[in-house]
Amino acid sequence: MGTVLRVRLTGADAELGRVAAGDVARLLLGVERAVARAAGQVLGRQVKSTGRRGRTIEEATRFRLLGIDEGSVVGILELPSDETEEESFDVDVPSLGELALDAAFATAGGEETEHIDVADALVRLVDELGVGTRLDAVTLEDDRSIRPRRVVLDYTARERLHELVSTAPRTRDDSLIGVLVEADFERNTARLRTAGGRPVSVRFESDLADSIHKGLRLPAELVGEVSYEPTSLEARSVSLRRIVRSEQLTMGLDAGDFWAVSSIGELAAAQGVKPVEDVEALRDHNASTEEVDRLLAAVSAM
Amino acid sequence: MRPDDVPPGPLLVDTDGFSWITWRRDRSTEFEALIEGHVLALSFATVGELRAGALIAEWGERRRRELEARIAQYVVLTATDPVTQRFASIYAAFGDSSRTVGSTTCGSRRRRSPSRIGSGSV
Repeated sequence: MGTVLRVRLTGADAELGRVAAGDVARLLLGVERAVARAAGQVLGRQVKSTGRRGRTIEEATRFRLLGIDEGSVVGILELPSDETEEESFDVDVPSLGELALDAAFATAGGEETEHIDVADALVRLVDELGVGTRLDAVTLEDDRSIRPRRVVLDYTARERLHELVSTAPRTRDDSLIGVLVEADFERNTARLRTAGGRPVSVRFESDLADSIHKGLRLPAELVGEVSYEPTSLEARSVSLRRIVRSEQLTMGLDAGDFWAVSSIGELAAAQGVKPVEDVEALRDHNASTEEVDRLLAAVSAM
Repeated sequence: MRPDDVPPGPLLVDTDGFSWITWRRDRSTEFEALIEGHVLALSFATVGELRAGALIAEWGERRRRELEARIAQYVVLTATDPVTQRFASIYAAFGDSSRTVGSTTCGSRRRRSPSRIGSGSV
């Protein structure tokens, strides 16, 4: 028999005969989603918020509903045991499920603060159930014989998890310019020193190792998923997809026709520039004050 | 300076002027009235400064694309023979006082006040 997890709803309407059927469904699905994301963290990758999860994660975290206790709303869920086809997985399935449950408990209880996507799933769970308004809390309990765990997700816990999510580094597809100052080809990590002198950690797949090696100690543009510190908006890390090396950065420069004689009117026509009719068209409303300050400080220092 | 004081024709905008217009910095309001109805130009050196500034400031790709979109609203004057000839003659005549055109057209990084921004053909 696999590990059993009890998920309890508490609150005025949290009893059979009064609770909304949809809330029970959201409770069970929300817990499964959070544990699946925790499994992704255990395996070293984030689980996509939408779409089909990897088979290993899906199988390891596919809870079975054993029952619902009478008198209150307690879903009794069981993780898969050893009946799955073990050879089709690269890790032991029950172990992954239990490790994922450990990680989910740790995040819910505040011991683990790095698994942002798990925290996000837990926030979504309590928000969908109206914890703090319609219901009081969701409680998770397991049946381990040694040190059984119990964690309460009430509104206070929700606020703590939400802060974790909202202050986590933001990521987006982007590129960074700097010098690759060191690399670890066993761990597939490197360090970029940006043009601003700050260190940015780099993660890369093995097929980019040669490009990293060739680019060491040279200026380069690193293209990939960049994580930013939410308050300072400084780049913290990049998951690398491509490197544009220094020699490529200087390629494409065209000296143009140095001897050409063109009036500004001719240039304007060629470049499609017209007299200013609306100054708003010249504005950049999206750059933050801090970003503009940094750019102007850099220009002033030239 | 009033709009009537600005000669007709294109206006060469330096980096300061660009920042005032684009990000509403400092004397933005005062400056806006002077540029309406004019074709605005940037020298290649100003464009280079802005791009370098964005890279040093670690602007992301999306921000840099937006900067490029703003730059595209201006005529960009490239480093051509007439530009360098004009710079040479002005610099020879006025020395450091020639920054109005010289620094924006040939990359000598000098700060200028907006009233000294060059205008007309280069």
